[in-house]
Amino acid sequence: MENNANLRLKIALSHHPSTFMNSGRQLRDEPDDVLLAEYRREGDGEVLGVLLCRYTGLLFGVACKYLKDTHLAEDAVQQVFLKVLTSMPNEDIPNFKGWLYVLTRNHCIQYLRKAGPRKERELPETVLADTQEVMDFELQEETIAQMEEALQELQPDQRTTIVLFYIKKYSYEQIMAATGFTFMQVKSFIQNGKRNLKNSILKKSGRK
Amino acid sequence: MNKRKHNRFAAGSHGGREGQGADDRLLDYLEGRMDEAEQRAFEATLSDAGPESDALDGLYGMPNPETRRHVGAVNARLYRQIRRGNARRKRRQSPTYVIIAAIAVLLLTVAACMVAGKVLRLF
Repeated sequence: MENNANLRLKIALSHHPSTFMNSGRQLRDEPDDVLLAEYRREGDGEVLGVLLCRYTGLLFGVACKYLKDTHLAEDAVQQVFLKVLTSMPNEDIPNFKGWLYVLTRNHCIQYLRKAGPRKERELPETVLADTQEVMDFELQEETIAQMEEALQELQPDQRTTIVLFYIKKYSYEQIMAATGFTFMQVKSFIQNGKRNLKNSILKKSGRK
Repeated sequence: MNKRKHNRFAAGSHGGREGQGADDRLLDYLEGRMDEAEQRAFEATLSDAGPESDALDGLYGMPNPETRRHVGAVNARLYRQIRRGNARRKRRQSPTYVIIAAIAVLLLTVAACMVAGKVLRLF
């Protein structure tokens, strides 16, 4: 049983991105935009394969988050890849990773909606939030020090993790050790704390 | 999904670099194969809602070999699809294919003309 699993793993891993070669040239180190331009010029699927393989793990993780089932997630990523292979849009894609992410997320949301209201209720709340708004706000580490007032308004757990991460430069692992929080708690406190900090600062500056 | 101890900190989780794309920092992070600066930069991306954060939520607690098996399976299927697509593309571009296609079109045209001629003669 164990041997079979190992064999399957070996076979699967033998198809890793470095397997995709083009005229003897290694494509792994080329940036996304170069590979995308080359694919559009030559129409060589292997070039697109290298590009897609870069994000298999990431997209699989995203699909797992939404679908909560590894096999469904595998199928979802596979279908997204198929969509890209068969109908790549002609317009420019400046951020290929972001584009793939949105495609995968939308695919999962569509699947859950089709699967019925019970499944749809499982959609993470973050889907409903305007993630772009959060991403637009680049919290500069050096400006954190000037945010004392806003920091004091945060919930204690959020304040602690924000201070440890941004000011004391702790890693997640160190924050876990110092506070006893789980990894996901640390991640969530930092994410929510950062968002609340942003809202508080914008409110104070009269922009919201 | 089977949620065990978060694999980033699982003992003996350090594997080879196989099965991984150049930009797939997520797996490097999960397997603790980043240096301090890389780890810090990656953790900073987790503070925003986005691909890395979502993916980490999804893979949290999944044992590394399982993650790699799923990723490898998707890559293997992608690889097969691409090989098939490229073979089709090469066939379409080969001179033999073009000649055969041209002959087929010609024969169909001749046959259509003959049928049309017979139909016209009937009326």
